[in-house]
Amino acid sequence: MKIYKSIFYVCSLFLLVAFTTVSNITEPTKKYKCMVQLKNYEGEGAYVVVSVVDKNDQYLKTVQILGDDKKWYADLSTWWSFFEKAKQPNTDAITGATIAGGERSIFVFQLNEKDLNKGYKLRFETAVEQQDYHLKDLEISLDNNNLKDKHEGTGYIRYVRILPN
Amino acid sequence: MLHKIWRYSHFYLTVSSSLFLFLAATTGAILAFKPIQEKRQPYHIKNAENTALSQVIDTLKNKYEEVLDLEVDANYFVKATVFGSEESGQFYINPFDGSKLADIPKSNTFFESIINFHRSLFLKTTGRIFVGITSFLLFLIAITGLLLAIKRQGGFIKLCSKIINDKSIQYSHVTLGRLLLIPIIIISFTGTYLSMEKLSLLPKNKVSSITNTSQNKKVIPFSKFTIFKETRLKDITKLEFPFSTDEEDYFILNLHDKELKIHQKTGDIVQTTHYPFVKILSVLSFNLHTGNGSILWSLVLFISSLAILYFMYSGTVITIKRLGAKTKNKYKADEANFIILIGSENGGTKRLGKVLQQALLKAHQKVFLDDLNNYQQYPNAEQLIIITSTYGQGQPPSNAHLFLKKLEQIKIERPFDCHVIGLGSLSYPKFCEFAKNIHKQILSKDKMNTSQKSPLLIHNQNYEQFRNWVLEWSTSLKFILDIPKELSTKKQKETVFKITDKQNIIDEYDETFTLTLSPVKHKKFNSGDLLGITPPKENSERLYSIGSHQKGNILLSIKKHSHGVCSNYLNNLNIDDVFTGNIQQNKEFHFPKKAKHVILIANGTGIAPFLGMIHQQTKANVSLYWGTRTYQSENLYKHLITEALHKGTLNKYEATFSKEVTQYNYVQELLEKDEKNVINTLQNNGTIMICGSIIMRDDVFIQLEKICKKYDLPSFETYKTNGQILTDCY
Repeated sequence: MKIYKSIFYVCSLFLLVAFTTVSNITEPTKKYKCMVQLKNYEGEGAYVVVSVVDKNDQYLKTVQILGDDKKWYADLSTWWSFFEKAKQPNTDAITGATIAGGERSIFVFQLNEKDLNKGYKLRFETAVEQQDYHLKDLEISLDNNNLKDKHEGTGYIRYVRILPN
Repeated sequence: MLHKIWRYSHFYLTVSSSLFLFLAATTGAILAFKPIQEKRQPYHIKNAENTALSQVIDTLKNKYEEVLDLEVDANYFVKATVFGSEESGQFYINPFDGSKLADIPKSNTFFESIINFHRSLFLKTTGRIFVGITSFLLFLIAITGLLLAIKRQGGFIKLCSKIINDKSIQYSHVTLGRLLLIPIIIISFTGTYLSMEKLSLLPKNKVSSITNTSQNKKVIPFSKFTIFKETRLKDITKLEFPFSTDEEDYFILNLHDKELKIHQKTGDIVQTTHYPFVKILSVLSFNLHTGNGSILWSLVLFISSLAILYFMYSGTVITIKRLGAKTKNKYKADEANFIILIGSENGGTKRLGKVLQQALLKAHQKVFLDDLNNYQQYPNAEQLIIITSTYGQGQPPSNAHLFLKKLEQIKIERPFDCHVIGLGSLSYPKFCEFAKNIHKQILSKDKMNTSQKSPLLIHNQNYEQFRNWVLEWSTSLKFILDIPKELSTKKQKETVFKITDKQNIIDEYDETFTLTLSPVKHKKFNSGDLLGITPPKENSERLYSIGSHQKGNILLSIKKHSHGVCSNYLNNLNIDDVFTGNIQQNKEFHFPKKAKHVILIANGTGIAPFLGMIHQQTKANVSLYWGTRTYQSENLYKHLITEALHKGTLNKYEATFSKEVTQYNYVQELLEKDEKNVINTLQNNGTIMICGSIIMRDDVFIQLEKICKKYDLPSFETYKTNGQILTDCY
């Protein structure tokens, strides 16, 4: 019995340590469900990139990339110059397929809680092969009240809906 | 010009698109393996596609916190985007328990770049336009090819009838073309359609949706929705779950032909949008063009791509042949004494005309060479020579269809001599029909004199026969023509042979002898091939049918003619003597590889090739019928025949002797006696091979025809055209 007890203690200690380490590394995040609905335009599927930018329009983090062919990333030139240097690890998890005109896409993204209510913005930028690039198709300021409801886009995006999860 | 429009368009369309077509076909052949590779992925759970949608929704909702969407592809692989405590993201699932099967594999970069090249040549929109146009041209090429094939076969209904195998590259071009016409039309059409779609050239349809207002207020769980219960996984392409619990957010269900919006509380279909035809066609085009979801169709696409490459090759060969046959004249039509008119479909016949033209030019004669269609007045003509092939079912070849009419209309001022030479193949039922027609019409013209009772008809471009005629003709005109011994620029390879054995037998009628030859250097040949021997100081070669003896030796069987130059030359050779000859492959008279019944019929020295064949290892039942004059002559071959009977490679041997017990016992009588064997052979796709004199062949034909009639078999002609009757007669 003694042996079992000691194993139990060791295990709980180990778990405790493990959990505290994990929570030390990851900052508290919040999940949001997001739907992007595009306008009815002709042509190839649109590349949509969602990023967090600060008050001075500096990119902080890429949240979601719709479009998996890196060849076209350069079309979103402003973001690309940031993204190329940032070398953000593991973008596979936040990458999805392009959306065609009139179609929509639903995905879930995560935000650091410390980024909220600081005047940062969530930027949706779009580009279509052989067509236009909309740097600020849509920008949503990151505060708790704003991160729900429907927001109208100005470029290829008809609207975006966000829902805290 | 109009009758050639399809040929010209077929040709120019291909030339103009050849580079892109080549690239597209090559990459297309590689891409055919993409759907095959995809289909072989282990993401398909057996019978999962028949599960009701309601069941899958239930499973997923229970297993995960949040379900965003569900997709089913052509391979019935099921993808879901979900969020849960264990697994999140998009991945392949097992629809029965909702568990994760595998991550979505990254797209294969190799195939991706080939696809990119295939549809846009790495040139983005410009490339897409090129590829789209090429695809459309391929469609036109296929259609013009079809029209040409219809013309060649002699009508739309005959398109499906047997194409006569004349062993030319045209044959394979036409046969393969007919076989792959439909896949190629599909490939080109769908390719064009997909390009048009990408270039936004398709007509824009207004999408109409039918909206129903829901009367029902009862809230029921998802899994009880009628639509979900009635729909199976294989019916859907995608299901999007409602974005929020808000009533305004619907389920969006994509079926193969429509999109439904489903109320998330009541399960009513709120809106139905039928896809426009353009979109359904797009999906169909995509699947047909890529082979998506079907290994079998992918293989058809692969074969078609390779076939396109082959067509480009064979088409080039045909074109080179045709262009090579273009003519240049030194003398004008009105000053020439010798007129050569050619009727040729692909230029093969024209080569003979050119040889004759060159020979006459060398002899300082004024010659004019032209197509039959360009027939006109020839004020100085003394000799008119018409060389023509026949197209299809006895029709004139493409450059001769106007000739007969012109011949009627054009007045001849000064009479001249006329000769007709027909080229053709005995495997066509209407052998040299057009040449015969011309000859008939010329006979009725008073100012055209012809000494021929019937035109000279040449089988399979036998140049020797043509050359002999030319020599005879020129001698009759009292001048000598220097006409090349061989037509082909390729010099035939001479082989040195050593005589290893010689046997001869003299009976009261003939002197016959056999020679066993062994090539000094190793040389491959088969029984039934021909050995060409040109005796010293002679120009023309004689052809002997050879039997291949087991030790790699050649067996020749020769009758000595008292004045025969060649037979005497050979007879004067002794064992260990050496002489040269050339072996000519004669595929039309080789022992059949597949037939189960083979009958060999020969008279006299015609037995030579059979002496080799009866020793060949085979599963077939082989009978040999031989007609000769005396018992004595049999002694020459007796040991070889008994040996074959003993080994079992020959199952039956019958001989008849025309000058022994009773007079006039001929080989055809042996057939009459053995009718059953003949019927059996003909009915079971067996082969009858005949070698010997032409008189014997004709008698045998008559006998076989009788047997066919007597036993209600298909006509003897059918067997002849089938290639079941092989002959090598002289």
